[in-house]
Order: sequence, then C-alpha cells, then structure tokens
Amino acid sequence: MTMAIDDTAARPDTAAPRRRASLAALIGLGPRDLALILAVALVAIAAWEFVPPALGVSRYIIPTFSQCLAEFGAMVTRDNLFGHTLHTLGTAVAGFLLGSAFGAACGYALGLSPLAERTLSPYILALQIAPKVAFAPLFIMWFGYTFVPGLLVTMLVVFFPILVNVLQSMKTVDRDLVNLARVYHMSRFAIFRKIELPSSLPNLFAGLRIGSTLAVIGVTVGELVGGNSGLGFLITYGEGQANTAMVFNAIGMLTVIGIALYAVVARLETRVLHWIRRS
Amino acid sequence: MTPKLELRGVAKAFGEKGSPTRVTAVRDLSFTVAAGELVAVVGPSGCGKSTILNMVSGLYGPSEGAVLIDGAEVKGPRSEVGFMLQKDLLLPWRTVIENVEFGLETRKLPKAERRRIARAELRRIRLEEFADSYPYQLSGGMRQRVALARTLAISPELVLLDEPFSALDAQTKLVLQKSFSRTLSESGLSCLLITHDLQEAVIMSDRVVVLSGRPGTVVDTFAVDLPHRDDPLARSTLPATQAYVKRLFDTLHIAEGAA
Repeated sequence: MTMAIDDTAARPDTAAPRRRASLAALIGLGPRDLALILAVALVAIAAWEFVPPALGVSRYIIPTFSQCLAEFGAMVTRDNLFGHTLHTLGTAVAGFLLGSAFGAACGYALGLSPLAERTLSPYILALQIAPKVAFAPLFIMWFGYTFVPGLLVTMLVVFFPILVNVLQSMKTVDRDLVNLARVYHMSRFAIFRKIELPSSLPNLFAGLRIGSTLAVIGVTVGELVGGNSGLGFLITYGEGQANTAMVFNAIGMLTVIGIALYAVVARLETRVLHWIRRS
Repeated sequence: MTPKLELRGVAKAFGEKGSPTRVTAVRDLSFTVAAGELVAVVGPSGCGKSTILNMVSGLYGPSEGAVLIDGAEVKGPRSEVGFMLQKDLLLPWRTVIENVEFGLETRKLPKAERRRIARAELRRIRLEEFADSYPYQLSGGMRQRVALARTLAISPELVLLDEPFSALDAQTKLVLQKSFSRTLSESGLSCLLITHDLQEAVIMSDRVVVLSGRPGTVVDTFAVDLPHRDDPLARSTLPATQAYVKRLFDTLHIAEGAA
C-alpha cells in the first residue's frame, strides 16, 4: 500500500489535483492516491472473503470478512460492544493524560536540575528498558480485577517516551536564547516559562504522538491480563469461546481507538505549533 | 570625561587553573568606547571577539583586569546594555511585535506602554506592517532588523553587535549596514561592533581596534577620520576608505605572521 502511494506522489502531474480535492487534501492525498488505496482495500477484503474458504481454512482459524461483520452486529447487541469500547477508550485516554502529565512534569523537573538528572538517569534508563507491560500481573495482584491495572500500565508506557523527549529538549535549548534572556535580567523561572518551555513543545508533541500509540498497547495488555470489561477482556473472552471473529473485531476496534487518539494529538500539534514553517 | 565602556588590562582564560587544557582567549586587553562612539573590533578568527562581548554584557567576568561601564565595574548583566548576535535570536513562537517587547518584560511597565514602545521601534525600522507576522514569514534581513528593534526597545546606552551582518547575503548586508548606521547614529548610542569584515569596520565606525590572534590583544587602534558615519555606502566610495582598509589588511597580516 505504501509503495502505491509513494509511486504516484513522486509524479508531478498529481500535484495540481491534490490541491483541489478538499477531503483528500485534508490527509494530504490526491484523488488518484485515494483510488489506489481503496483498490488495495477492495482486493484485500476480497481475498479475505474468498481465499480461506477456498483453501478449506475453518472459520475458527480465519473467519471471513462477512462472518466478522455478522459477529460485529451480534457483539453490539449481545455483548455490549460499545460499552466495552467506551471503557477501553476511557481508560486509554485517562492513562494517556495522566502518564503524559507525569512524564512531562518529571522531564521538566529533571531538565531544570542537572544534579537530579545525573543522579537519576541510570534508574530512568533501567526503567525505560524494563518491559512495562510485564508489570500488568503485578498491578492485578495489588489492585485486583478492576480498571486500575489497565490504567497504570497505560500510564507507565506513556510516561517514558514523553519524559525522555522533554528532557532531551531541555538539554538542547539554544544557549544563546538563554543568554539573551539573562542579559535582559530574566529570573530562572521566567527563562523556563519564556524560553525553555516553548522551545520544548515540538519535542513534547513528538513524545505525545508516540505515547498516543503506546497507550492502546498499555490498555490492551492491562485488560488482557485481568478484568471483566474492555476490548482486551473481549479478546480473552472470544479466545475462550473459540470465537475468532470476536477477537478480530476487538482488535479492529482497538485500532480505531489508537487512530483516533493519534489523530487528536496530531491535530492539536498543528494548532499549537502553528509558528513552525510547514512545507 | 569617563568613557562609556572601558576594558582595563583584561585577560580571560577558560579551564582549570594550571590545567594543560586551559586556554587564554584574551590577555592584556585595554581600550575604550566614548559616549556616542562606534568602535569596531576586528581580528583573525579565534582572537576572543565573542569573549569580549560576553564579558561586557556581564555573562561572565574577566580572569584579570576590569570591565567598566560609566566608570563602574561590570558584575553581571546590566539593563543599559543591548546585545545582538549573528543569529537574530527571535523567538519563533512569538509574533514580531511580541519579540520586540521581549526585553521590556522585565521592566515595570504596563502592557500598553510596552506595546507602544515596540510599535515605535517597528516604525523606526519600517516593519510596522509585519507586527503580527511570525519570524518564519520574514526574510533573514527583516529578521535581523527586528532583532535590532528588540535591542533598541530597552533604550540601551551601549549596544554590542557581534557580527550582525555576517549571515546575510551581500546585497542585504549593504542595505542593513546602511539602515543600522542611520538608526544608531540618530539615537546617539555608544556601540561596540565586533566584525571580521575589514571594509565594514572602516565604513561603519568612528574608531577601529585591531586584535592579534589567540590570545587576543590590541595590536593597533586608529580613528577613522571620514565623514558619513551614518551612511556606509557614501563612505565606501571615498578614496581614503581604501587606505584605511589597506592599513587593517597590513596590520592583520603582520599580526598573523607573528602569531
């Protein structure tokens, strides 16, 4: 799919229609790109629908597209699919917001205190390398089969990329800008608020974009390991019932949540960072 | 009369005392800038020009000797000193007028008064219609003019210019030299212009101080006895200008050979 997009994007003759198509322009694609993307989707769905039955693959291994659709309708009425989706979405958003807030706060605090940064950096590195999702069973032992473990795993996976990005930006602030502020007698806090904080925003948003995709992983693992609600729970439930279509659909909904979170962050980024020249 | 700025036997070394990596940037450096005078400092690269600027702006002190402004020793950043670098140092997230206001924000001024001063400075550099633009929407020359407006907004008594035109293309450079010269001489400011451009030193200044290679020290100083300090283009057409440039060229050549 990616190859198809690059192929047409490289041709200059697609540049003009790209500007005209409003919906397509929104995502930076020309109508020709869109047509190709749709064609790929149609081919993939057709293959998904007809190839497994033709090869005699059972619906318990690979349910077809139409079987998944039918199961989707059943999940909505029978299993309260939207309730579970909302639960997962709520946990992901809450975990993302809390994890980002803590990550950014720690990043700025460490950036302001080189001594604390030097003292704590080996521990931060160790924690960053430790697979955060492996903490999920621990959290269940501590907090039981509630939404809390999912929330905590989400916070934990979101926390580090944001901390690291913010800290990095604090360490690479233009020294001449800081000197300029010092020549103007600005206090340490004013330098932070007027120079360092705004300088760090591009890096902060890079961290937030990474965090928004990781949040879905965190919440899924938390719900997979324990609990009785959320899409992660539906995956384990579907697995227990050998309902492969249910697992497929839950994965699909998780992807939708991830895309939505990412899109919101990306949209916010273009609004906040409007002062950066864009090509 | 007390000079606006005086460097008295200044030396600056970086690194631990006695360490083999200790580098002496400048030594035994003495010169003055009188009130209303524009003094150009030229020298080969690495002669400690930026070190001088940082010491005068109070970012760090000398290892030996003293830097005096109006006869008082510089102990830290001083509010009557303006400071401009090769980089425009505009804050990209602020509009042009907000950038001009930046230096005024530590003054006890009402917001409306800050805005009024900034607008007057923008009018002076003829960029008033760009007040609400962001730096990325401006050309390099316009950005450097905004940086000058920011520098002058705090009504400094001494302006330090560290190669302010060296990042610009030749044509923009000429235009800016002219507009800076006019603005600076109109406001009667004392200026220290650090540059490696010999022609620029002669056409923009009242006096030239020539430094040797590292460690930098004064090897020559002379007054530029030419008219049109407010118009470098007019001055550059005078035959005597080339004689001064040649003198600089010769001095620096000798200084380099000796180092």
